[in-house]
Amino acid sequence: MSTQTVRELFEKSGGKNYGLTQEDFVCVLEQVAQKYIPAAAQQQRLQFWCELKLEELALARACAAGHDPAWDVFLTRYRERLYDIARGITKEDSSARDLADSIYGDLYGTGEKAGRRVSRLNFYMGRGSLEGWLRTVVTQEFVNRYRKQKRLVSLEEREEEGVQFSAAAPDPVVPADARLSGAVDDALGLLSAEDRLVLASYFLDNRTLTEIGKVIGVHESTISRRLEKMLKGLKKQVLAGLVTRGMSRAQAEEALEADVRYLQVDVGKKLQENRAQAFQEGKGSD
Amino acid sequence: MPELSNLLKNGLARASQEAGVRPPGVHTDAHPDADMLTAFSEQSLPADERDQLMVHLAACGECREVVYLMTEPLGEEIAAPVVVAVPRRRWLFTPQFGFVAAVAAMAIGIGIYMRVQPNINNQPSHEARLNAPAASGSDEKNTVTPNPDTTTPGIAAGAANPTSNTPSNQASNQKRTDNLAHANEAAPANATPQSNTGLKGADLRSIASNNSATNSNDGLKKKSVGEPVEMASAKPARRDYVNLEMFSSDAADQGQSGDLPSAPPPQVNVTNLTQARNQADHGQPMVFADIPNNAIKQSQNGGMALFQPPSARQSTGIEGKIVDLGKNFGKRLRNKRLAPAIPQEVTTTFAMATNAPALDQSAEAVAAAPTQKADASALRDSSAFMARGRAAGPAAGSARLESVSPAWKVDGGKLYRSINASEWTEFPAAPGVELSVVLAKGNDVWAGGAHATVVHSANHGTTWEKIALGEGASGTVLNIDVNGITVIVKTSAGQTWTSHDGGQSWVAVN
Repeated sequence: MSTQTVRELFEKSGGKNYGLTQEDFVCVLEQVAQKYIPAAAQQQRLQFWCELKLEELALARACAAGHDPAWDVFLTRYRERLYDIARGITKEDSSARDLADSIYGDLYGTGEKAGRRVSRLNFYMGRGSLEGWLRTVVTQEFVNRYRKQKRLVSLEEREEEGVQFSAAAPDPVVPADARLSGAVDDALGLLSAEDRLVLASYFLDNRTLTEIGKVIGVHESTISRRLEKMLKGLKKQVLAGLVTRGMSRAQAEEALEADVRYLQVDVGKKLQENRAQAFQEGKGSD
Repeated sequence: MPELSNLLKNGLARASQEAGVRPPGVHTDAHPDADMLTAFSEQSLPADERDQLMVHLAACGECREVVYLMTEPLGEEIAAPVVVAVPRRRWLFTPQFGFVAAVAAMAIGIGIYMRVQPNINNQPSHEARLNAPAASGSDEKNTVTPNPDTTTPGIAAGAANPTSNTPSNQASNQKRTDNLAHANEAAPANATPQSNTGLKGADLRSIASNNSATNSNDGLKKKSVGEPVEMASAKPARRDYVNLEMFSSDAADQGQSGDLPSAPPPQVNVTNLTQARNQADHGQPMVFADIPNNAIKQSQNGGMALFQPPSARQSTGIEGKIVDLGKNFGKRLRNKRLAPAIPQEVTTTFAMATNAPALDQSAEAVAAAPTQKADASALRDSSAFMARGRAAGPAAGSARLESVSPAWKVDGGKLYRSINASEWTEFPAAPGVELSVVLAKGNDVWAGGAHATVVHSANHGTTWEKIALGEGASGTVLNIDVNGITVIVKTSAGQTWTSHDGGQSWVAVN
C-alpha cells in the first residue's frame, strides 16, 4: 500500500482529530481486510477500504483506544441516539434506558483483557454506518435478554397459564408418503435465496408485506406479486415432482389437499423446535 | 394472498434447519456479525455477499428476527407520527362554524342597517344645527316657555327644518305625539295646528306611558309633571322620561328596544319594530321607562341635560342581544364616521342657553349666552364658542374649525379662499407680491411669498398685516409652520426664521 494512498485515507477518515495516528489507522484497515477479504489482492483491498465508513471507523476505534476528543464527538452524536434506538426496540422507556446504559457500558469497556480495557467498539468494522451498527448491537442484546428472560419462567406463572391442565401433545404425524416431502423439498430448493427469505418472513415469521419490502429493499406491492407468483410456481413444481415420483395427476392433487389435515400439528411442532433450538444457541458472532 | 399449505410450511422450516451456507467473513459460527447485518439492512453489501447473507437469513429465524427488529423505527420516530397523526381540528372549516359566522354576519349587518340608515337620513346637517338656535331664538315666546321644541336637543335638531314653526310642522308634531300615545294605532288625521300650542315638555314625557290617552291634546294637557302615570301594563311605579338621544341618533334603538311603556306587550314584533322605525325615521321623540325617580325633579327644570338615557336598556332573548350587538357596532361606526361636525355637548349648550343658561356652570357658557341669544352667526365666530370647541377635545375642536373655517390655497402667486371648497375667491392679502405658500390654523392665516414676504390674518382673512422677518431676510418663503405662538418660516435662500411670540419678533436660526 502506497504511502500516498494511506495518507489520503487517513485524511479522509479525520482520525487525526480523534487522536489516532496514521499507523494506528493502517492497523485498523489491515484488521478489517483480514476479516472479510483475507485472500484479496492489494488492489481489491484498496477498493474495499474505500467503500468503508472511514470516518466512523476512525471514530469508533479512537473511542476504543480511549481518546477523549473521540468520546466527546461520540457522546454528542450517539448518546441520545442510543436511547432512541433502544426505545424504538423495547417500546418502553425504562427498559430502553436500561438497555442503552448496558450497551453504553460495553462500548466504553467495563472489562479488561491483558491489562487493557476491552471496548465493544473494537468490533466495529465500518461495513455499515456506526449508527446502524449500534442499532444492530442493541437489537442483538435485546434478543439475548429476551431469551434469558423467557427461560426464567416461574412454576407459579406456568400454573397460572394452565400448563398442568393442557392436553398432552400428540405424537408427530409422519407423512404417509415420503414422496410428498421430497417433492416439496425439491420445489423449495429451486427458489432463489431472496424468494426463500420472503417466504420464510411471510409464512413463518408472519411479517407484513411492508416489513419484508423494507428489508429486501423493494415496494410491498412487489413483494405481494412475487408471493403470488411463487405460490403458483411451487404448486406446479410439487405436482410435477409428485408425478415424477410415480403419482398420477389426481393422486398428486389429492395429496396436496390432504396435507392440511395431518400437517397442521406437525408444522407447529416444527416451528417450536426450531425456535427452541435457536434460543439454546443464543450467541452471536461478536 | 393465497395461503401456503402446511406441507410447504413444513418444508420451509426443514430447509431452515438444514441451512448450511454461511456468509463470507463468518468463520466461527453460522451467524453473521453485526457489521454484515448492518450493511445488509443499509443495502450497502455487494451483490454476492448479499445473496449469501440472504441464504442464511432464509434459513435462520434468529437472524431474521434481528434484521426485522433493526428496521423498527426509532423512539423519536415512534413519537413523531403520534404528533403528526393527531387530526387537526379544522374548526374554521366546519359547517357549524360557518353557520354561526353567517348568523353573526347577518346580525351585524342588520344591526348596522337599522342603526346607520335612519341616522343618515335624519342626521341634521351642520348648517341646520348652527341655525337651530337662531330659529328658536327668533321666537321669543318659544325660548321662554318650556316648549319641548326648544328644550330638547332632538327638537332643536328638528327646528333646523325651515318649516319647523309652520302650522303644518306643528301638525306633524301632533301626529308624532299621538303616535307615541297609541303605538299600535293609526295616527290621527284630524290633528289641528291649534291643538299643539299648549303642548308642554312634561306632557310629552308622560303621554307615552298613557295607553289610555285619547287622540286629542286635552288628555295630554291633563298630565302634569311628575304625576304618577297610569300604566296599562299595571306597573304604576314606572315613570317615563324623554330620551334625549331619541331625537338625534338613537331613536331607532329605542324604538327597537321593545320596552316602550305604550307598547302593549314587551315583546318585539314586526308591527312594533316597523312603527318604531317609522318614528325614528321622522325624528319623532320616543319615550321609555326605567328612569330613576329623582330624575323627574330634575326634568322640571327644563334642562335637557338632566334627562339622561337609561343606563341599561332592556333587551330580551337572542333577538334583543342581536339588536344590542348591532346597536353597539352602529354606535361605534357612527362615532367614527357619522359624528356631527359640532359635538353634541356644544349644540346642547347652545340650545339650552336660550331658556336655561344657568344650567351650564361654565363661565364661558354664561358669557356666550347673550351672544347666542342675539345671533347664531355671531355666536359661531365668538371666542367662547371656539374656546368651548377646544375644550371639547382636539379632535372635536379641529373638526369644528374645519367645518367653520374657510379653505385657503395659493394658485398662480395669488391667494384664494373658499367657503364650500368649490368656489374660490381671490384675496388680496399682499398686493404686488407673488405668494407661494399659505397656512391656516383656526382664525389665523399665514401666507408667504417672494422677497421673504409674510402676511398674517387673525380673523379668517378679513384684515391682513405684513410681517417683517428681520434684516437680511431673503428668498421666497417655502414653508410656514405654526405651533401655538411659535412660527417658523423657511425661505429658498436657506434661511429659517423663528418667532416665539406669534410673529412679533423674529430670530434667524441659521
